[in-house]
Amino acid sequence: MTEYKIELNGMTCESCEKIIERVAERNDTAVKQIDVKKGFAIFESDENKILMIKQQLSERGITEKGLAATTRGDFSRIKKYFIGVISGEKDFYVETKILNYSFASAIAIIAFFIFAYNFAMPSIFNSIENFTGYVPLIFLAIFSSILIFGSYEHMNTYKKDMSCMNGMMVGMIVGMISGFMVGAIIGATNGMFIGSLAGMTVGIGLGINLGRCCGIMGALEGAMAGLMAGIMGAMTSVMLLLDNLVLFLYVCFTISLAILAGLSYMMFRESGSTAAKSDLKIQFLDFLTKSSILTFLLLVIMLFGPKGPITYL
Amino acid sequence: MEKTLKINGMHCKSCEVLISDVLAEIKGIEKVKVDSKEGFVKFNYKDEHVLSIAKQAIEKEGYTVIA
Repeated sequence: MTEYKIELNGMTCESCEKIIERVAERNDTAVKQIDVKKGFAIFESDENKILMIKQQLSERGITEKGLAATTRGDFSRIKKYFIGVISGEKDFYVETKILNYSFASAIAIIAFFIFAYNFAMPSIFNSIENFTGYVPLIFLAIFSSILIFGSYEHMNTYKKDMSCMNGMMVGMIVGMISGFMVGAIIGATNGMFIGSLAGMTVGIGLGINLGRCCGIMGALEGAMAGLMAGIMGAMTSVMLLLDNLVLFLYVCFTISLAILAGLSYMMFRESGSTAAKSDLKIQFLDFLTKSSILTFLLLVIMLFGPKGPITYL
Repeated sequence: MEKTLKINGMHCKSCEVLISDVLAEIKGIEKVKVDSKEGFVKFNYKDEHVLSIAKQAIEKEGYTVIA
């Protein structure tokens, strides 16, 4: 018999200690010491049993520090997730549904917009001064609305099973990115004041809504993220008015898409891959309607809202 | 038969894992679902004897079965 000290991540309380004891007992292994605060456990056993114990603890959310941490960030896992979502594998049906809804909504909104511009109300669009200059920003508004709403619904699906730490993280990221995107778009077309107000409204609203599943701390974190990002988005646009603003926004929004994709992976890993998998709570028509409303509101502000002294167009 | 028990003392994901583990070892219990936030555990059980064993096993881990 050899003594093994294993440093562990994810131990938080007495229940974790009991889980470790039960796993050790099941593998005929003696536990010499468990320290939840310092995050380690000492076992007396042989190597094969220790490997089994590590595996079984990992399945229960308690992972080994160091090597396990590396394995967790292994790129092949992320690749498997995204390939699974795109190819519509059974395990990822919630994510595939959101992806399909997002694409279908984007196509529907763009088609509606083209129809309105060419046939339904060309006079309204033609009356807007320098309308063609708005087009790249209108596409960004459509892209942002769908991205924001897709992330929001993804979190909505899993928030019941989300740990406080993860819930706070999601509330913060969604609040921050949505606030930044909206602030940046409206900041470009309407100036710093209106841009900041719009960015803060969307960012704080979504941040609080998603963060509140983790109590007041999560709600406040979401609110703070939305507040800062709303102002920051508008400020960035105003500061870049004379320096490739649109190109910058496309680069920045692409990076935001990558971050939200990472967040989607995190939500799946932390909650969506568990046994009691939830289903998406929203139907396509509902998804389309809500993302269209957000797009429409953004477009109305962009095209007809009050303008500040320094704007892109 | 399906049963939902209200449990006192659960506060985190580890409590859910622990109770799931405990119930998984009892023959005659299936489809366990634990919710620490709402404070309940739901499962299918074979007979009243198994149900009583399940309650005892949960209480042995330091939780209180309310109803």
